[in-house]
Amino acid sequence: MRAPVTDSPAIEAIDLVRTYRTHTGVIRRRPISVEAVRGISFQVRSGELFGLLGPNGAGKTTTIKMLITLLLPTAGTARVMGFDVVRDTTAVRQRIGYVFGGDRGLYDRVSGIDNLRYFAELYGVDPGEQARRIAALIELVGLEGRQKEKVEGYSRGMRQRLHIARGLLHDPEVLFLDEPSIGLDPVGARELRQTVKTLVDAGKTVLMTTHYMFEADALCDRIAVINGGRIVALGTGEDLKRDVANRTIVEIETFGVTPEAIDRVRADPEVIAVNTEEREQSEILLVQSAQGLQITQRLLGLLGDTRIGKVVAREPTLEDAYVHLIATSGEEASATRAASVA
Amino acid sequence: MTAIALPRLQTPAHAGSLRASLRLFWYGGRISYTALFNWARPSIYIPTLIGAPTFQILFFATLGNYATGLDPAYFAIGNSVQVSAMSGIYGMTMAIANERWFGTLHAVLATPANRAALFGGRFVPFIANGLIVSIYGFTISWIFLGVRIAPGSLGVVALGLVVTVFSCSAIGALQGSLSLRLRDGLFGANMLVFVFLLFCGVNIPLETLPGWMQAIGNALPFTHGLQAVRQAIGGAGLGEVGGLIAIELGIGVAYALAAFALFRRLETSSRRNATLDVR
Amino acid sequence: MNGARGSLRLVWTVWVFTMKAFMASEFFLLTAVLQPVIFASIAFFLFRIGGDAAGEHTLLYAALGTGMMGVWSTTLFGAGGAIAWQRWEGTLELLVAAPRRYDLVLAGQTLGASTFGFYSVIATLAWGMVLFGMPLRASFPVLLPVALLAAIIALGAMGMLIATSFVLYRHANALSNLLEYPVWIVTGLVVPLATLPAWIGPISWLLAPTWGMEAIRGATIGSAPPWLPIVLCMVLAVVYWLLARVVLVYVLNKARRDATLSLA
Repeated sequence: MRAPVTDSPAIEAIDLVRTYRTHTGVIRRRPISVEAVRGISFQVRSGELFGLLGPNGAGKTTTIKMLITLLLPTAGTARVMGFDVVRDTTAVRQRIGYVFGGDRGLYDRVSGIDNLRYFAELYGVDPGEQARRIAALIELVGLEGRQKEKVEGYSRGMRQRLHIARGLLHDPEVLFLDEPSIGLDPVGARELRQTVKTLVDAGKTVLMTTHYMFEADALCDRIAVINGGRIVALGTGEDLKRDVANRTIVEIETFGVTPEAIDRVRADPEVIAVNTEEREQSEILLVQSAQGLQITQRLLGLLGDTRIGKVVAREPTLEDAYVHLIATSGEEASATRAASVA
Repeated sequence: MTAIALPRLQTPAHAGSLRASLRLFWYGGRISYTALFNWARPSIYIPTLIGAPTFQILFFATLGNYATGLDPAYFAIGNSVQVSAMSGIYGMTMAIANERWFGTLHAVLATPANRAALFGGRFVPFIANGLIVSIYGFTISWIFLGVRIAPGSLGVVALGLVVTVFSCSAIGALQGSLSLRLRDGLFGANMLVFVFLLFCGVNIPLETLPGWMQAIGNALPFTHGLQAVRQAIGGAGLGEVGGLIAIELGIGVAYALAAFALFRRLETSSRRNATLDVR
Repeated sequence: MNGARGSLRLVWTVWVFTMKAFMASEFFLLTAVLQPVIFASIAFFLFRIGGDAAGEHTLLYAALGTGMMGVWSTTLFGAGGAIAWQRWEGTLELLVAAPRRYDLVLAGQTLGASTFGFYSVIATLAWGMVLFGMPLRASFPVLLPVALLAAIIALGAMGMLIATSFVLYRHANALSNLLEYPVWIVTGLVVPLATLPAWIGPISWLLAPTWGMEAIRGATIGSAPPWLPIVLCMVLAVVYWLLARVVLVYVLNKARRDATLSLA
């Protein structure tokens, strides 16, 4: 853990809420409120790599957009480097870099270096330093030799790297990465993670959203798991694993398991939780029980006539903690969301 | 990727300074011309802004002369100015609306850049573009249709042209801002161009149009500027056409301010309601 | 489903489909209705200034001429647009590799475009009647549908020739922009060919809109039944069709050799 540069947090979210007004229905349009973010609070220390981890639709992008001043919170406060995101918008924008993933977001018809030059002007990078800065960034992200080509010819990985270079032009203290590795091949994604590590080592604060749990685990100092607009867990990877640390996971591959069979397993007193994963032809049941318990035989018995494939008993991973968190918080979230439709 | 250390900036970046805004206006404007103007490439530019206008001038000159008996030069002048205005209308529409197409709008809005410099800088390349197209148009008119610019009037004609292209770019910018929220920008831009052909004295002398059409024509950009250019070509000096040029400039400024105000309004409302979310 | 019947059926299916696609497109609303109506207004005002205000002959002439201008625009942009659209969608390669003959698909598309273009004629006629008091007449009403059909087919075939030439060219739409005005001039749609330089005459004889316009004019305001133009429309249609097929074979082979089909 790198030593914090200052004591006050680099990023601070206090009870952030974001509600959208929208309509449903075509003929009779009823106004409804969608609560995308329902009270999120966390702090990110200077020099920390913080992850916002959650499934699609959890509220990660909405949260990050509030922090980077593109969206106004409906309630709550947020501060970046001590500046309020609503009142001190310009000060915040000058100090943050925004990197997002995907195919769009760059000017395809001009070269990579011209994209950087344009944003250098937008950020007001000192003219005397622009050329040097841009050259250094191009080298950092590995685009030397390709920077004069038009972006329309870049691969996804190259675009992503250009996004990062762009986010660093004005030497921001804080970087926000919104799902940066989405759509990247494994090699590209790994390179991206290495770059992010380099940046944090150099003292930058990074907040990253992702739905790849292993990525959060590998990279982040601390992770906030977000689902249904709320943080359902916050801590280091170890902290989160601790929740499931003294458990055993029995993975059972089934073919055509029925809900009744799963309920029978769930009802067993030794079983803490059952989560399921759908595969193409089969399902995987992830059964959590107290550590060391030898319940495999009993589980198979409870499953009755269900066709069984592979059975593995193993230590829990962060993924199990995550899956479990999402499953349990998801049930609560849908219950409350149904109530909030006005 | 390399593990090189990235040095800090010696002078901190500062988007709020006047120098930064001026640079954004000038250099940023040039880059965004190539980045956002669909027709910047010669293979598209030449047929669309050089080739087609040539034939447009010839078409209306022959039609106008056949139908009315008026000198073809009248129609040639009107259309030579109109084609240069076209580049402003289409160009500025694209310069704003295409941010949506490329998904760059939110990246741009996340920066602390001065919005006026950002917006205004985009006009400059199109005004230059318009001048080039009109030089070309007038050359065609001179060669084929007997248009003669009175000596000594070149300066006034050029002034009239610059102001006219500016105010047409301004209405293009308004169309571009509108299309950030509403729909396909080019449809509106095309409609504007057709409307100009009918209402603004390009082919039909304004005084022969019904009153309500004259009113519309006078409220639009281009009309006064074209009148100034016509008179200047005939030898009128700055003293005589200065008033028309000033009106045209005023109209252009009004539309430009409206376009900018709309752009800012859309930015603000997007922060409230995520209306510009283009992801 | 094989042979001539199958081919006709394919063309017909694509024809109808293309027309439906155009109806949903606002670009074609612009090209086929709004643009011709504006140009018709310009023409009406101009002819009025020239003193022919009372001339019903003139107004109808102008309405038909500007309507035909719209037919050409729609055909042109439909042909160029069809290729560009397919290239953009990535379906160009699929179509070319399809078992059914691509030339039939192209024929259906360009015929659909030229048919849809006739909304322009309807639009300009309606506009003239409602706003300028233009009376409708037809000298040879029985021949009018024949003339219309002949014009549609001739223009569709010409569109097909254009479309085949565009298969290789990446910026087809830019070329379409370029070809709008010159064809309007050279085919004498609103300015009679007689008033233009003599060397334009032979060029005009090779272009479908010239004879299509003559056929329709003949049936409405002409003094003699327009048999010659109708026949020439059909002759030209066959010539264009044959040329288009030759060009298509050449172009597709070149595209396969140079791998240029998929460039979006």
